[in-house]
Amino acid sequence: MSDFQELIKNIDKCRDYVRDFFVYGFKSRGDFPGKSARTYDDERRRIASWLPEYVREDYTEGGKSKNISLQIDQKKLNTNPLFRVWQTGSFTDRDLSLHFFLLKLLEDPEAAYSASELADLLMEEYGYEADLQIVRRKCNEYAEEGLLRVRKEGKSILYSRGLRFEELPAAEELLDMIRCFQMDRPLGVAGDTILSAQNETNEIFRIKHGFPTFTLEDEILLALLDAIREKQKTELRVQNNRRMETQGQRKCGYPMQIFVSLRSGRRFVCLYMEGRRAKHFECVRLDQIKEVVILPERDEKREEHRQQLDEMRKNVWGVSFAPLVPGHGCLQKVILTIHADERTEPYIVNRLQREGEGGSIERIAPDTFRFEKTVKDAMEMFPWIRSFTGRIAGLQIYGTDGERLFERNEKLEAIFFSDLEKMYQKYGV
Amino acid sequence: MEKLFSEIYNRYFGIVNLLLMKKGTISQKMLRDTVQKNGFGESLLFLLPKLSANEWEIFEEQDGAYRSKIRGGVKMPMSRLQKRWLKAVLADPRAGLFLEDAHRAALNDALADTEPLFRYEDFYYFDQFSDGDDYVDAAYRRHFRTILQAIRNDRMIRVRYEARTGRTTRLFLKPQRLEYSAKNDCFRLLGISQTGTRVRRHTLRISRMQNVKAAEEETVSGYKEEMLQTELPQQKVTLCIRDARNAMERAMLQFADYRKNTCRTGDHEYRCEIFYDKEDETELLIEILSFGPVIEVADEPENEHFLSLIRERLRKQKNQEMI
Repeated sequence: MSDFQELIKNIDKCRDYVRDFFVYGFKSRGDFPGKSARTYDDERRRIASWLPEYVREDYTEGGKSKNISLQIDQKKLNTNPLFRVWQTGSFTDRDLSLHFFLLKLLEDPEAAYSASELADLLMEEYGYEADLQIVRRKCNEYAEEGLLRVRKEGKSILYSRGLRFEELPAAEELLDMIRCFQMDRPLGVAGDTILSAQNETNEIFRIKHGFPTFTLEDEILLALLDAIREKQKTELRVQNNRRMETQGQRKCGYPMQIFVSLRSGRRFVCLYMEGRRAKHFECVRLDQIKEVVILPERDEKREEHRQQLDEMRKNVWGVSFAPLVPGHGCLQKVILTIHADERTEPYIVNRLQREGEGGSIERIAPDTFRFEKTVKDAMEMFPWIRSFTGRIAGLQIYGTDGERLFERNEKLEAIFFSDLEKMYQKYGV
Repeated sequence: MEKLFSEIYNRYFGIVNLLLMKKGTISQKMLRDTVQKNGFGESLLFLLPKLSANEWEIFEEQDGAYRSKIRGGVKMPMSRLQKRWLKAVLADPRAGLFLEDAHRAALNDALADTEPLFRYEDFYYFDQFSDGDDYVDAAYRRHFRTILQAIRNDRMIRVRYEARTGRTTRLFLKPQRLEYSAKNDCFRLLGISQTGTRVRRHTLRISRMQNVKAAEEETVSGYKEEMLQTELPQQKVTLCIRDARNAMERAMLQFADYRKNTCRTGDHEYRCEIFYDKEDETELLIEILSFGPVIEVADEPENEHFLSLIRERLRKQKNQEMI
């Protein structure tokens, strides 16, 4: 008999499956090396159960294998369907009964009982027998979660219920804000749980350029935000999603800030790292972090490091940082010339302004504009530069230390133009 | 650290609470219907037997039917995670669109002993456009609230709007949704208007609205309900992706906000159908161009339109005089 369960104890395993089914949508059993066929089948069944309206099953490669994909049109959503993975934790029979009985007994905000009084009331009111230790443990657990308040009175520890949403001022207006922010703000799943608890839904707001998979990294994000706040050092276990069979690597550093790309759909943690020789900043993708261990060391010079980070970000296009001590040619100056009709195509210059991450723009001739930006890694800019295809009238890249220009990096320029040539060939232009 | 994967947010708990809230007797059919409507795909198999057998002792048995032992169900207190998240988002510049300053201050007071889950400066949106909306502008806030009220109350609105071309138009609209674009950092109104039998859809940036008023009329008669509900048919483009320079993963993540079908066609070669709204065509076009030669629009008759757009840009580029 199958021991399949709809709920799960640990989210780590299924998180990778949900991500792969959603992001890729073509992986079948053979694409999950190191996992048994049974594990794959169970995970597939579970995800189909949690997200039935989004699951599509196909036979691929000549009908040899079956795969599932998650068909989600982000722009049309009222909430993020992947929040459902957080509603699937397994529990014991006692957890459920105690949850309802205890919260009902403590419904009156003035009611405050000790664990032993609650154990008696459980029997009197509901005929439910529960060991005192278990009641106490559950109350402490709920106090830890914030559902219950704890106060000491003489020798007794008394429990009462915490604040309810509807007791907050302007709760009605607040609901609209939560409807909007649950899909857009970090850890929006917390907002979704508030709406669910109020039996409310969102029928008003939609989000464009949102990334539902972000929520799969939310536990990792929570730990990193804790470390940022407490200025603590962390050890991260990082595993490339394309090489799941390897054990991955460990990275130690102080989390400083979360970098978010709304273009590529990736989030990173920016770490301050102290190597044996050099200190530097490095970004690590959140979806590749499998574990965060908080270490005891604290960043005693946080203000100084934060200022350094803010300063260095000026020369970062995406997530590639230069060394903390700049050297000869460690930066690259990108000079992009764009042709746009000033009268009919003002939006092109607007694009340079609003998307150019603070780069300078100069009109060098009628309908011709020069955009300049100094960055650590010019290659990071290539996707954005390519988006101007049809209007690129020049691209030069120079080595620089931020002030002086050094030799021209023709090799890098050639990569860009050779890609363009390949595109002409592919499309027969 | 706050717990995210906790039983208190479990869907089964939510379903049980719905049942406990029911007045009168709860039949087996009611149990089944509630689980079916609110549960996961297989909850009938896993949750229903537990409820039917009253394994959690939450029902009183009466003449073969159940009654809730907990009349009215329970109203959950807020967890610390919820309070901390709320405190964090109250600091968002957009919070002022929903809440008056006095309300915001009162909420911050009510959550005075709560530490925000994150601070605004903990995040850096490095490729977000720099010309986002001005959320503290008084007129912007007024327009936003008028629209929000109108959507809530199903009312029509009158809008004076300055288009991108500078031309001003007056519109009589049924507002349907407010859409936030994270990349553009702006709100847009999605609405419809009707002239005679012709229904038109509008996507309007709040920041370009010169005036917004709730209309006296409750709604316009003669609107075809089905037109209000249905989405416009989507366009489709098929891409061939060569998995070089990690293109496959990059593409799948970048296009994750579109509905798509992907399949493998060979070693390191994939085919991906992307479904998009016509109004997003230019955005998708430049996203595809940004990948360079590792992504190609499939040379197939049904892609002819998209291919012509790409070829036009490439031709223009090839003929560009280089400096």
